Parts: sequence; C-alpha cells; structure tokens
Amino acid sequence: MAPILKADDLHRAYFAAEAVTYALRGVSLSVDAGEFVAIIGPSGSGKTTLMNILGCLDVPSSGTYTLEGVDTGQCSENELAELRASRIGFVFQSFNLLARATALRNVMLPLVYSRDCPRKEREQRAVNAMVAADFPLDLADHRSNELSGGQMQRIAIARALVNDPALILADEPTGNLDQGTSLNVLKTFRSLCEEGRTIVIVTHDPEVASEADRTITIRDGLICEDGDMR
Amino acid sequence: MRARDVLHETGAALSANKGRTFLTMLGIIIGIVSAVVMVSIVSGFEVWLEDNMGLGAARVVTVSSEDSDRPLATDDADFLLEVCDDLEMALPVASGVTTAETSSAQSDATAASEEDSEDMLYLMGVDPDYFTMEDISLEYGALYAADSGMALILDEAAAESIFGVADASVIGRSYDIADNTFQVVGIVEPTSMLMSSLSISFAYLPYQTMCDAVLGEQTVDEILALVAQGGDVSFSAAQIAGVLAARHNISYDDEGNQDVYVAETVDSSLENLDIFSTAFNALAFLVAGIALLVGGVGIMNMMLTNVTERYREIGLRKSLGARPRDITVQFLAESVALCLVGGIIGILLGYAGAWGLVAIVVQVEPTVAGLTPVITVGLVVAVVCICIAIGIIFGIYPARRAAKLNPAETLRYQ
Repeated sequence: MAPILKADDLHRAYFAAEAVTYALRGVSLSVDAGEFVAIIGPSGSGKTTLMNILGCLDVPSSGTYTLEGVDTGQCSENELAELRASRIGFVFQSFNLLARATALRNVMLPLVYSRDCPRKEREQRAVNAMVAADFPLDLADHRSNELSGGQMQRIAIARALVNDPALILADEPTGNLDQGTSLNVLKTFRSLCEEGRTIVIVTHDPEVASEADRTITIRDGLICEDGDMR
Repeated sequence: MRARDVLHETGAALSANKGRTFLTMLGIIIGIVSAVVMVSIVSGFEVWLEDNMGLGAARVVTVSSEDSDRPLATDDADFLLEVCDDLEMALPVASGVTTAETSSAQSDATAASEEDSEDMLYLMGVDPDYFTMEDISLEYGALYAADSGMALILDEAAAESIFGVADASVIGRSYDIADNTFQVVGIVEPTSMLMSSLSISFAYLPYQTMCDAVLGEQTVDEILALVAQGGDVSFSAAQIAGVLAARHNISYDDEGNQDVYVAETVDSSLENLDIFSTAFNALAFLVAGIALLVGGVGIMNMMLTNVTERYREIGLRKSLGARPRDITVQFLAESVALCLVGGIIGILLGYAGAWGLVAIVVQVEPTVAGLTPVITVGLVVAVVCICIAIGIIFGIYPARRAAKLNPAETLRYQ
C-alpha cells in the first residue's frame, strides 16, 4: 500500500541572530493510510518542527516530504494552503477556537477556505463532523468560550474532520485536559482510526503515546526509535 | 473565500470590539461631517439664490458697456424693444451710491454727529416697470410713475435706517438727496436678501429724475431687458449684444466677439457664482482631507494593533487553509468597512448638522429664511468612493503584513 505521507532525510535549521539551531537533522519516516501514530519526544527534541512540516505549515531546509504523492517542497504558498484546506486536519493543544463564534461556526470555519464545498452543505457537514467527534449537538449554538475543555477539544476534532482530510495531525491534544477527559478524547481518536482515518499525534506523554498503534521517538532532531506498540 | 464569508467575518471582527471600532471610526466621521456640512450648505445656498432671484429673473438680460468711452445711449432701450422681437420690456437704469442719513440729522445740520449711521444707500433711477421685472412687491404706499418727479420709494432696510421705522407712517415724509427734497411714496420689500443682510439698502426714484436732479447728466449704467415668456433668453442676449454693436458701429474681432456691450443672463451670472462655490467646495474638501488623513492614520494604527492581537487567529486560519490572499482580503475588508460605515454615519450626521446650523443661521439672520442644506447624489457617491479609497490605502499595509506571517510561528505566539 502506498504511504499517505513519506518524509525523506528532513533537515530544518533556524537562523536567529548569528546562531543556527538545527531542529531536525535527517528524519525519515512514512505513514500508511489508517495508521494511528504517536510521535513522542521531550521538549526541544524537534517534534513540533516535524509536525509543522508534516502539516505543510513549514517546509524543510533540505530533504523531501510527500503527502499523498505530492512533493510539498515543489509547492507554492497557495498550493500548500490548498493542501492544508483539503487534506489535513489540525488539532492543537490550546484548541485554538474563535472565542466569539459558536461551536457550529468554529467547525464550519475550514469550509470557508475550501473551494469545493457549497454554502448549503456546510452546516450538514459540520453536524456530521460533530457527531463523529462525539460532540453533543445541543451545544452547537453555544459560543466556544462557554464550553468545557473537553467539549472545546471535541469541537477542535470536529473542525479537523469537517474537510474529510487524509491526515489528522494532533499537537499535544490532551495537554490541557484532565485525565478522564484525556482518555475520552483518545478514545475518540481510536474510533476515528477504526473508521479508517490516519492519525498522527505529537506528545511528550508516554501514556498518551501508548494509546497509538505505533510510536516514533524523536530526540535531538533524530528518530531514535520507531516501533509497533501492539 | 466567498464575498458573503468575507462580509460575515468582517462583521464578526468589528462587532467583537465595538468601543474600539467606534473610536477608530471617529476620525473618519469627523472628516466626512465637516465636508458634508460645508458642501451641503453651499449647494443649498446656490439653490436658495436661484429661488430668490425673482420669478422673472431667469428671463432678464442685463446689458452694460465695458468701455467707458462708449456708454449706452438713452434711447438704446427703446431701440432694443423695437428691433428685438422677443423683448417684452427694456428699461435704462442709472444708479448711484450715497449714505443713508437719519432724517433728524438732515433736519438739524448741527446734530450730525459721529453716531450717525454710515449705511450704504444705493440709489436706483428706474421706471416703475423695474418692480415688475425684478418681482419686487410693494409693502406700503404706491409706486411712482415715470414722470412723478421727486418721488422716492425706499426698501424696508432704507426706511429703517433713515426713519427708524418701516411702516405706513413713513409715506409722505421727505428726504433730501443731492440738495433736492424727495417725498417718500412707497416702501417695498427688501430688494435682495443678500444685500440687506450686508446692510446695503436701496432707494428708488424715477429714471429721469435721477439723471436730472441727482446725477446732473443723462446716464445709462445698464439696460434691463425682459424676454417674453417662452422666448430663448440666451439667443436674445446674443441678439442684444449684436444689435448694440451694430448700432454703435463696433465691429467684431476675428473670433466673432465684441467686448464693448455685454448682455448677461441669470445663467451667466450663476456661472460666476459657480466659481465661488467650486472654490468653497475645494476648501471644504481640503479641510475634510486633512481630517480624513488623520482618521486614516488612526485606522492603520488600529489595524496594525489588530494584526498583532490576532496572531494566533491568523495562524489558525492559515493552518485551516487560508491563502495569503484570503488573509489580505479579510483585513482589508475590515479597514474598508470601518471607513465606509464611518463615512455613512458622517453623511447622516453631516446632513443633520447642516440642518441644525442652517436653523441657527436663519434664527440670527431671518433674511435667509427658506435656506435648506442640499445633499446631491454626486456628493454621496464621492464620499463613498473616498472612504473606500482611504480604507484601501491605510489598510493595505497591515493586511499585507498579516498575510505574510508564518503560520508555524504565529501558532506558537503567546
């Protein structure tokens, strides 16, 4: 089976003042469709940089990264935006919801930037995504700042799902949640995976990583372990 | 990003912080209010002037000589009436200026003191047809006849400054002009609201009396000709100038112009007025322009703050697939909306303010009663275009800055 994403010898250097920081120093990995992968590593290991590149928010200094066969290094800024709009769903640690907008509007937000979803279909797709993310629909009209942390993260997951992406990228998705809620959110990821979605979680928490099928450990910008947990 | 989405996002963003949005708009509102107040009052004044020129004014042709060596002849008026078909009336005017002295000062020469008013009194030597032509109505007494001799008609302002009152009691009283004693036979309404508001008053006497008793020579300062109802006024004006030139043996220059006898219509005098109103409007736009520049800088400042405050939101939108162009359009729409809403509020407040100002002016100066501010479609369109332009000019830099932000960095921003 062709991998959904394939990274080959990724390097990423940051230039600040006169110092150069190497965040990634030759990372290669590939993820197949339907996999539930956790990328784990301590703070400063380069895992967020890797996630940014996998999410097409950043490009590597050298090396190649292909998403569904598209070489992102060859993409223009607009083409990268198009990839993010249609192929990638992000879930952030701090939820990143628009506080003044309702839950429904937050979930519909990616569709505003998608060029293939008519306005009429938006609401139905958002409702479907909320159901898939296990978000109670009777709260759909509540403003996001009126919701609990767990509900906010479910909105964020629904938002990531609404475009039917090839890849869901979650950056510390349970970082701001209590243990019980964390487990519930991870269960949601698990069930999404069972529906055939590809999920990559970035975390520093081994307990969270243990929920995934495969764990990739990254340290000092290099992959030091890549193993199937199950 | 579709237009409706842009509108929706803009509304949400601007209503999120209403206080700041309003304060930012204030600069634009002040600029537009100042422009609208000035321009609408000037336009209203133009309309008012046209309305108050008298019903026949549009049909009156004023003929004068530009060359003092070739004055108009006494019988030119009769000649024009004879030669030009469309003319209903033509009468010569001889005028002069004196000072309006109070009647008590006249009767007792020693009482003439510095306290005496120094109001200008215009003497108009005209035959009674003049009152019909200029649509001046009689308030008290009667009109004189062309051969009434030492008869005098005063306008209200003149009666006020000479006798202290402007009522029937003035009729029959006498007044001295150039060592001749005149008898007041009538009082007319203010000749021109503009003139009386400038404390210039008018006294009318028969044309022949004016020449014989006051000026001491036969003079024609101008000829007023009334074109018959339905006649072509500008054609008649051209005809009059041509006829007079021929009568006085003046040849046309190469361009077909002769610059001795000038026949002006209301339209041509209004054109002169246009120059003033254009100049005034230019001044209005200059004042407004300075205010709008300040307002525009305020908008830019607010938008830059906005971009900084919304770093994470910009990062989020980019991560969800917003292209740089989408971000530019969104922020630009916000600054344009700020200016446009400010502009519309400015038009409404400006129009209301102009009404208020006119009401005060009319209270203070009743002679301009009937003056109302006028807002034209052109003004509204101009204001809207200017506001959109300001929104774009001052919004493009913050919007481009937002669009260029790196999504990975903005998402990390605390």
